[in-house]
Amino acid sequence: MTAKLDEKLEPIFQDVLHRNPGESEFHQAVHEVLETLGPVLVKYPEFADKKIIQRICEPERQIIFRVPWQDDNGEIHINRAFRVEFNSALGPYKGGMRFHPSVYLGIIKFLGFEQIFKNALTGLPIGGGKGGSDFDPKGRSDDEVMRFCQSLMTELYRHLGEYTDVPAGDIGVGGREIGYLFGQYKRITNRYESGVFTGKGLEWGGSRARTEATGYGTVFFTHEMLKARGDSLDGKTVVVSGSGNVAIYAIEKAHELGAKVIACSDSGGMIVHEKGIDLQTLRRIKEVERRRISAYTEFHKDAKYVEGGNIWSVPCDVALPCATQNELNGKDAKTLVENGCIAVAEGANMPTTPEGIDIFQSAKLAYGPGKAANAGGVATSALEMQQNASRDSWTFDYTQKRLEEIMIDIHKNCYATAAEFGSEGNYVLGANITGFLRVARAMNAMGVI
Amino acid sequence: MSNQEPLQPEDRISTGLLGLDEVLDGLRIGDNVVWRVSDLDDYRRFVRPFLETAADTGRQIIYLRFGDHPPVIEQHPAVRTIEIDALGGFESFTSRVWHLIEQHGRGAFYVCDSLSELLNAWATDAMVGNFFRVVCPFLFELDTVAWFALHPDRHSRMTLDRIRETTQVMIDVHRHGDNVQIHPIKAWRRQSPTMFLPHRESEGRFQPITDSSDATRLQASLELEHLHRQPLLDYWDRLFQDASRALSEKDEGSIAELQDQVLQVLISRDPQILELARHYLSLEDLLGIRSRLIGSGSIGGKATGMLIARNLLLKENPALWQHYLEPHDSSYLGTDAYYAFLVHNGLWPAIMRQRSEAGYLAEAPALKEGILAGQFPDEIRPELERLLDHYGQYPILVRSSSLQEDGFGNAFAGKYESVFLVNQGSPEHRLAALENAIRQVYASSMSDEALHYRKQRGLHQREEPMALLIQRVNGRFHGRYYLPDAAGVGVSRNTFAWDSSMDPKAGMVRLVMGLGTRAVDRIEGDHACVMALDHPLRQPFRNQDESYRFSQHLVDLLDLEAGTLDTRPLSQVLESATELPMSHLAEVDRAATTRAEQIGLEGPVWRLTFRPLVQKGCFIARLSSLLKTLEAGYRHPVDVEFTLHLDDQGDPSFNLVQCRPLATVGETGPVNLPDHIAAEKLLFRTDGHFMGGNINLTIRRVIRVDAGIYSELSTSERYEVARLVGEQVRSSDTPTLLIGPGRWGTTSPELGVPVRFSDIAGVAALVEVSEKAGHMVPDLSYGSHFFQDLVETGIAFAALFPETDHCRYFPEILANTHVSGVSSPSPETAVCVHNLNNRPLQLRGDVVRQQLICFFSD
Repeated sequence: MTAKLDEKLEPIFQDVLHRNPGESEFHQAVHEVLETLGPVLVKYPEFADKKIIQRICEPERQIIFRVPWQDDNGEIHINRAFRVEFNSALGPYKGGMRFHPSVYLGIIKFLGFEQIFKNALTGLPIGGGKGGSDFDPKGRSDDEVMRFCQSLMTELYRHLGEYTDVPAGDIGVGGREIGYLFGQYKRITNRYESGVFTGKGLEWGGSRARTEATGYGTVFFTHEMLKARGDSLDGKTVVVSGSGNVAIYAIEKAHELGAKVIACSDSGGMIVHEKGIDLQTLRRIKEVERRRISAYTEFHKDAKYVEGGNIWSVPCDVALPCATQNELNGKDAKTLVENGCIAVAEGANMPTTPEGIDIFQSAKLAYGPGKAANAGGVATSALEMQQNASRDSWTFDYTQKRLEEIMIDIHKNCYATAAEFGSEGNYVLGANITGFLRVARAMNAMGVI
Repeated sequence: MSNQEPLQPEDRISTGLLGLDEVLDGLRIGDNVVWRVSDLDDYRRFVRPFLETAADTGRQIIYLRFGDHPPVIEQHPAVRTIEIDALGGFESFTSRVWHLIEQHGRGAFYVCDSLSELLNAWATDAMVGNFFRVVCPFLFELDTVAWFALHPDRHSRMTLDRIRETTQVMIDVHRHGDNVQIHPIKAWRRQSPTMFLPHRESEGRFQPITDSSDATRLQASLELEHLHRQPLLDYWDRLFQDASRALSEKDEGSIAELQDQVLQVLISRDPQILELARHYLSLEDLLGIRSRLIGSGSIGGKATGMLIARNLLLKENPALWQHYLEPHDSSYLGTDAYYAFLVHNGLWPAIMRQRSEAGYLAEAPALKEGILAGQFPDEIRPELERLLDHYGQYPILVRSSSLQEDGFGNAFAGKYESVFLVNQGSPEHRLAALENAIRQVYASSMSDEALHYRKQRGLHQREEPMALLIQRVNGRFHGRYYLPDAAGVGVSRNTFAWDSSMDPKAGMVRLVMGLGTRAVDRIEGDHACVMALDHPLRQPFRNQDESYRFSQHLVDLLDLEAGTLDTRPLSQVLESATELPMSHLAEVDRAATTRAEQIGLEGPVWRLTFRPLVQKGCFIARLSSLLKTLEAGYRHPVDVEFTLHLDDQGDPSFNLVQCRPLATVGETGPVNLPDHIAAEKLLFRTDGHFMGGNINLTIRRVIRVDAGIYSELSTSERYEVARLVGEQVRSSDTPTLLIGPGRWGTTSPELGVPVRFSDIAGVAALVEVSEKAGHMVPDLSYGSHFFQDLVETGIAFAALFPETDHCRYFPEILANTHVSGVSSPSPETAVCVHNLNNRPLQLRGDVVRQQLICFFSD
């Protein structure tokens, strides 16, 4: 919270501090959004007049409730759950549920606030919200997780609906938990309302291409960034950090678009394969055998495994950080720039440190921030809702095509917004303002509600 | 001796008896003189004149006194008597004598007690011969004259032959009433027409018996005397013969006494182990062990632990363990075989050099090479052949079982080698492989790691002969592979209780499919299944995906075609071993199976979670019972190694391959927690909430993340803290304690420092503190973020709750050593590095008392 706010925004932020004491993460998130909005208020003074920002900072509804449940030994536990229905200007509240001991209102509000703009950026009709509980699934049996989910939904169901609030998964909430939550919702309401949850299993209302969405989306976004510069991915050398879903499908799509991915990594080290990473082998190791990436060399003797190696030291044209937060710092950014890297797109959430971002932006390389470049996952949630609403199940190719269109739109909007505000090619600014503008315009149109 | 034909000075040395000098043509410098006497007085009568004469010539005379018999030399002004305790064992005794000889240098004269007395201390006759084979050449080399006595009927022919072969002079003494006869048996490089005839003493002269009929009569009368004596068995054999007889005659009085004697020579001299052995190893059991023993001496600690544990189970809970404890047919190579090997290969001088302070590490490589190039004594090889005949072509495991191994306080875990043999090929090939394996295990006693371990524990001056435990590898043939169904390590105290609801007393298990090497050794990049026995299905994972990721993916097995111990991916093993009991050990990973099909691989994909084994059968109940029974018997927490044999229904039987008192993580011996520590010297103390078992570590660096500063940082800066911590940890291999607020390794920086395990893998201890500061959420992970990694790396872990009564935490005592100054909150000021080189901290944890203390010991 170091950057100084516009003088019109500072009182708004002080008010947020005053009204939401002890919620440091939320304060930080609001500050980060406000930091970029100075020029917006100059250009759109009506948003200030209508107190759009103050309204955005206040959730439409906050629900806090008790979740009692019994463990396998019959002992009773009481957790606290939250659902913050932050903003529905663009569509039903949409955001994941997080089960983690760190969950408290401040965290949920922070995540819900960010979700508003993330969802808005996709251009799809979804609002923003977030929920969760301080329940820790770690070490809990399936039955215990089921009992907890059922208890939680026994209260939460009344606040949900495919046109009202549509939760999804997040940390601690995966396919298993979505199943238990949806099952209890269906049981209580006596309605098979598929669209009330996203992230469902494919056989009961889920969408194809969900697993691939974020990785594919990142590469589509990268491709668009290069196209905007009169270039393309074809023939480019790429390094991808990580080897999870995002990384694997980013590699797949990059190969499909003519690039050659020569390195990927996991927490133990990196593989460099100058011939190009063999996706079949990578999937076998990571998705089927669930082993460390070092096993890659068992299948490809010409590949090199570097224990603890820094993947950003591998010369490349394009870098896709798809592993984890803060994995790419200033020094790494400098190395990439010196090695001639022309584009960086974030498949992971906040993988580049602020110092790294500064270096990329100073070097004028194409830098796609995570909130835009990895929006493919959010987009697929909206696509799942569309399929549920139309009682349809799209093919993989069609879903992928829709995903690509969304990513192209996101890029176009970010690019255009950045240009509108005099920073052509600054996707950070473009992404921050695009999402806000969509929400603000909708709120403005709907009157004081 | 005769092979080398060294030079010997021609100077004559008198025996003190003119007549005897005439018979022997005098003694020579370098002579070792062995007197074979039935009565020690016959030795004394020759020693006295020798002494007087030597004293007159100003010789330095040393009397080596080690026997229980009355002294050979009473007070004598010219004689220095040095008492040596033979009870310390062959190695320490021989070493002491060696050093004395070295110390007294050239030209000293020695008179020794009867070598037969050593039998009382060592029991095994072969070792008397080995002792002689070691010191005799050394005495010769230093131009000494040394006298020894031995009783001719108390040693085996082999020992007598070896002594005769080594010594320069050997003389039999017989007495009939007052008539003394001597009979020179050997006088190296001396001869006369009558030298080797019996001689009768008469008025100070020795007359050869030149009449053949007199000689025959004399010989006949000697033989008549020996007729009613025991046959020429050594003490060792006689002991077991007596034991066998006592058992067949049900002579209860003798049985107890003999059991005690046998335990001393075959099992251990450690009082704690002996007490256990008295209870659980009957004389009959001991005879059984003897029948499977090659050579003589102790079977060592590991073999002893295994045998005691098996019998303990069978005795305390026969109903259960007669059904579910697999039989064993282990063999043993006694400690004496190890010494015999060294002596046979002329390695004793090297051993002596290695035992010195300067040579302890420096001489080890040469000694190791000598061992690896050594040959086995002739009497051992046929025994090894018979052993191989017994096991047929089943794979076998040659395991170290040193004297001190697996005792109370000294586990030597992983310090000595064990060698798997696929045991395939021609008999000659298999014998050669076995001999190589034995040499390899012997040589591992000279490994850097083992030597450092012994030195750190102050054991480097104690003898540590290597016995061997040779076991049939429990398992089945699966095409080209051989492996057990499963194997594991069980610990009667859960040293990794990651959840406060887990009772450390319930125990834990590390379980793997295939050979137990993956459960015993720390494995990188793969994971054994770790279960708390009171909550076996409770895993520190957030979901199934995590539990699958942190499961065992690689299997250790014997590859019969390649002839090696190998590690293969489970998927690869399953391609050729289709009858593995997967449904009893593993679950189908549905998601991975789908993905496998998508990329053209055949399913199903199995995950070794061992849930079916736990859910369907009695595995946990049996293992819990096993550990509880053993802990009660040992009166100490234990850890065991076992393999599992599953029947068609997946019901497991145990093959117990090792049992020992629970070991300590750290540098030195048993953990002693100080009763009182002044507050200004205490960093922290906690009751419970730590993992890693018994801990005894010296900490020379503390990296502490300041909770107050950390709480002031932004999310991005908190990640920077994680990065800085990683840099600091990697910057030095100094034993480091890493301490900080909340959950190490969390993905939520508001909960703790979001390090990756690779950042902190080099620390010795990891401590989480529930410090409420700023907006930090004081919620500890109990190591569950890194649980599997902590288990694999053996990093000690503690969770501190300073607000509670069972914990004290005084970070301010580190303030004096703090190098960074306090300034505005930043990642750099949050990470405090305290170098404690001159004033280290001690971290000590006692798993039984459930206490962990970190303090300055000065």
